[in-house]
Amino acid sequence: MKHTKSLIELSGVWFDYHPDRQMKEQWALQDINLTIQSGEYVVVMGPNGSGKSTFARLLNGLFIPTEGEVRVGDFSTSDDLGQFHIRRKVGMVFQNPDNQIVATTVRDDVAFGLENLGVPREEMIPRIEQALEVVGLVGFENREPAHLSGGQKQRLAIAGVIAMNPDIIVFDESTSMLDPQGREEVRELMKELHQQGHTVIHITHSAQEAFLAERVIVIAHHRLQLDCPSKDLYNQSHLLEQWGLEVPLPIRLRALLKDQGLEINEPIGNSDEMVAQIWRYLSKT
Amino acid sequence: MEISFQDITYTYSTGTPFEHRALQNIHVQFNQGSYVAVIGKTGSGKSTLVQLLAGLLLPTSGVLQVGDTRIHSRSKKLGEYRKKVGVVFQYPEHQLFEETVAKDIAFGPKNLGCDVAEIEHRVVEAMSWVGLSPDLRDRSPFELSGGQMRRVAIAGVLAMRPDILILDEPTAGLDYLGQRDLLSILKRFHQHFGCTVVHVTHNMNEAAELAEQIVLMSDGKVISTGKPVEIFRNLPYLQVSGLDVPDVTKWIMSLNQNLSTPVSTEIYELSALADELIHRWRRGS
Repeated sequence: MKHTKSLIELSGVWFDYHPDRQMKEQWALQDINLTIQSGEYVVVMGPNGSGKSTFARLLNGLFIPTEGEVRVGDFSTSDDLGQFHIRRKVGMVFQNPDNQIVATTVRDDVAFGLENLGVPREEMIPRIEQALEVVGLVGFENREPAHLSGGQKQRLAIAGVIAMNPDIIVFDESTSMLDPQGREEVRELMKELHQQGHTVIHITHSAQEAFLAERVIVIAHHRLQLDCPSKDLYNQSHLLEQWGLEVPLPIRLRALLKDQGLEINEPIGNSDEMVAQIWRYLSKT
Repeated sequence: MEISFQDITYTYSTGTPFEHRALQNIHVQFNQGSYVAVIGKTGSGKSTLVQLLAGLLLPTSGVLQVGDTRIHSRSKKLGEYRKKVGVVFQYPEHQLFEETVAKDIAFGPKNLGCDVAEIEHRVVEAMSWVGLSPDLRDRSPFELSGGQMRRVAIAGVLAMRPDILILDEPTAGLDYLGQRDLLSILKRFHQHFGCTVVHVTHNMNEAAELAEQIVLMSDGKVISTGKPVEIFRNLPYLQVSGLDVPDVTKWIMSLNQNLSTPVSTEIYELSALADELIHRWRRGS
């Protein structure tokens, strides 16, 4: 994989669906500036209607900034040639697996994108095999996608994306329609893809998922509100509440305990550390 | 109305190569006016179960007794029965169709034969139940945000004042605040009207917090039913069914590993857990 310094760069990005009809302070996204390096695992959090899905669609040129520029590698989404290259570089996995599946067998579904790229058959076959192997669907080649579970369908959609060899994969709430097991399957797969060197951008409103990434970005009220390493987020995650986001359980518990006089000031980086602290207070006595 | 599934089996596409037994020998009772959560992973038969209860499918064999109504494979004319059952399907906002919010909510009561004054009364009331501001009544539902559209759809069902309210994954896709709001609406509505609520979910936190009775389904069978504490006691059993325990329970379990007197796993609310910890801390110091 090619390592450029900043893989993705958004500078002064403003966007709206009807910029001519809306006041600028109501635009869907306002003044977004950020860079993402190759190989990062970034979670983007935001409440419903915050603009986070719009943000996802700006990354691969499905939407073009009304003002400002989105650059991926050496290209800009604002020009036609740039879009052509960027759409090959940036794969998207959406929320509803049923909306992303087009073919009547698992194999054909993965082949769909490759056929569109005009990949020759002898190259296509190993690429499909490899993609199905990564997502754990070997043996399912001739199955009908309609008969797969939610998690399997979403993994199939991901296989279709990785067969195209994108550098960057954007997951737009790709776990929100799945049951707990399906969700776990897809989370595991994201982690694996990241370890294999893909840049992973995961859009979610689950606090639990935020801590799976290395870096967390919060978009709320159409603007970028927070951009920090996920380990720092834990301690200031009471902030999440003001944007309507979920605060992790141990942090909510700590606040409730403080209200009743038990103050735990030690930094807490994860759930286990909170367990250890509580235990210490209870056994100190 | 008491609800009783008596040895119910349901088979899709009987006599075709796609024949699939979605429900197998279901025996389960729901008490009049109780809040029931049906949990189970995708494909476990949850949705088939509630479609039978809604009178949308007829059992292949067995009897569904709801109050005085007996539903079996050759039942006819369920029109009157269906009027007593309100169903909020998954992503109900996809079913909005009217020109204005008020007209959409009025559709159900109108079909029930309510007079104009009664319809108006119920529309106003339902909008207030779901927290929709009265000045939205003449807006097109399609101009609203996703969360507001969901509220309109639910208001349309509440306005029918059903004896049985069925909700299939009502919070799916909502952000944290939206989920909390909706759950508290459902809780209050249930307490106020005393209807029987059947809430399908794979969110264990929801099930633990709201339900008086939980029905655990796997592979088309009811594998366990009882109070939340009876269901969540059995972690391995749940995990085999592709489910998990509520976050609070999980957290108490890890705390208990270090405590000589374990904290009760019958606690599902974080505030109750905080009270218990404070109590122990004070007692000790």
